[in-house]
Amino acid sequence: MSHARRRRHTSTRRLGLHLAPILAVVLCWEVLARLAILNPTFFPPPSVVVGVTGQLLVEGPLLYHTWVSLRRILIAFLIGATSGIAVGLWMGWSRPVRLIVNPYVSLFYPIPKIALVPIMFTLLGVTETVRVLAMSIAVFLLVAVNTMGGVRQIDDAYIDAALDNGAGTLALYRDVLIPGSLSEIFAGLSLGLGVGFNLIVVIEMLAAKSGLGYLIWRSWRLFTIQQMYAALVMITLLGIVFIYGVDILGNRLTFWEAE
Amino acid sequence: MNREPPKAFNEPDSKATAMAETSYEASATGSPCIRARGVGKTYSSRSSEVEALTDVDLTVYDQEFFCLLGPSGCGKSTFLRILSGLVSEYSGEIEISSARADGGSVTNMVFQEYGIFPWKTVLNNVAFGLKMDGVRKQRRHERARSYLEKVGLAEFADAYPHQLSGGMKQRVAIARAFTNDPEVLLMDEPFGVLDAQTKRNLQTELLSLWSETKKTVVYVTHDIEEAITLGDRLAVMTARPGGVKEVLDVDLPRPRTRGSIPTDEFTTLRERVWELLSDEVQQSVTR
Repeated sequence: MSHARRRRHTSTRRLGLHLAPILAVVLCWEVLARLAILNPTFFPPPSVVVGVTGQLLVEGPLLYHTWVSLRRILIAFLIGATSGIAVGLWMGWSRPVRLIVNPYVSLFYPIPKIALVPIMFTLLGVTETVRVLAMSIAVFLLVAVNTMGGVRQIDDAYIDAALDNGAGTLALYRDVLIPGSLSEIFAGLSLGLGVGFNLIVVIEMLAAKSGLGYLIWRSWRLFTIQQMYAALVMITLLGIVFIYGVDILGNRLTFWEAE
Repeated sequence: MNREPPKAFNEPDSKATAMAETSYEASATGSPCIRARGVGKTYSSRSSEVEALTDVDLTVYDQEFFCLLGPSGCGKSTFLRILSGLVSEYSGEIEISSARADGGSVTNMVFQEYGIFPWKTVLNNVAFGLKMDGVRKQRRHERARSYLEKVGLAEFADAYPHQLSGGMKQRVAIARAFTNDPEVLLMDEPFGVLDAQTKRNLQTELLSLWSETKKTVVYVTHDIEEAITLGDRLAVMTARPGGVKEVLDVDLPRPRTRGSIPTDEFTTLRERVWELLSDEVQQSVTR
């Protein structure tokens, strides 16, 4: 009881420590913009940005573009994560598979994925599939590499114990390899999301007629700066929810590693 | 990974006569449970080959507590892993008599590093082997609980391993092994990392579980006193490549508790084993 309360207590305090600097920046910005030390045309005060964001969500295009980006992110993440986990587990466990697949993964891993997008457009046309696929690939690579590493660092004692107790292949994956590499899998998911978010926004800026990236870029070009900030607020919120959401879920699921 | 258990044989009596020919076999009663003939194992990597075991001849009898004693790196763990089927490539022959027809496991290991899963509750760890054998949940939990009670961890059934001390973790591993009800328990320095007091307590608990269930136990250790305290017989192994140097009877009365072991006989035996072992230890150190 007291243990749980203490943990909740420290986590609220940690949240406070995270929020304090952000609030300080927002406050400074607000004051500087109000005093016109910052040009309010380019740096509208946060209070105005929040108001505009709310207004554009209700009656403007913001909700639509947020939904488009969210859908792309969800689909791409789902495809990249499941395939990355599956391939990563397989590569981690089976040496032959690792020897065959790893060279390809190693080849694509360091390439900035955005550089591949023009080639993919050439091959598959400027389509929604390519936009989603590009982020999927980024997520896939990071998740696969991390998952493989996770499987390989599993203590041999666990694998020996599972085999000695008669575990078959399915049980080995379910009861040992997946739980044993779970924290690395989640590290990969979190990294993949970070990279994937960048990618989807850049692709939307360059080659889409919808999405928050598109909205940011267009607002900038049309000089509707307040709308640009509103889109920025939304993409930031999505980023926070996804990336920290995955981190928190990962920590919950790998509770035994906390001590 | 290929995991063929060593092949079983079912006519222990006809082989018993052949056994007597082996010169360094100490006297023992009962029918043979494990027979190893000329067992060897060489690990090869790209650059080198290491001979871990060579020409091991051993017989372990039914319901016997058999200790394998040797300097570190002498291959005693390798021998145990061969018996368990975890190491499937070796030379020579191993036969483990299997009287059971219920398809249960013949051997089960207790590892030095516990080998219990941090992501499973104590109860699910203990019931893991039965789950793998397809035993229904209620039944396997029942059996797991009864052994948890025997090792004094009944109230920790729903705890996770990270909440337990080292000694408690090893109790969980032992409970799992007994819950699996194998014919042969293979124990690889199970108490090697525990402090002296915990070690002593666990030895006593293990002996009482053993005398209750009458399992055949092959127990690997580098601790002379432990081997004498626990074993019916003990085999002293040579330095790498490991072979059997000598097999000794431990003629001490049971149950063996701290006070009940005759000090003189214990000391005599300990000196004898120490003599046998010291050359080998020297060798393994200077190499």
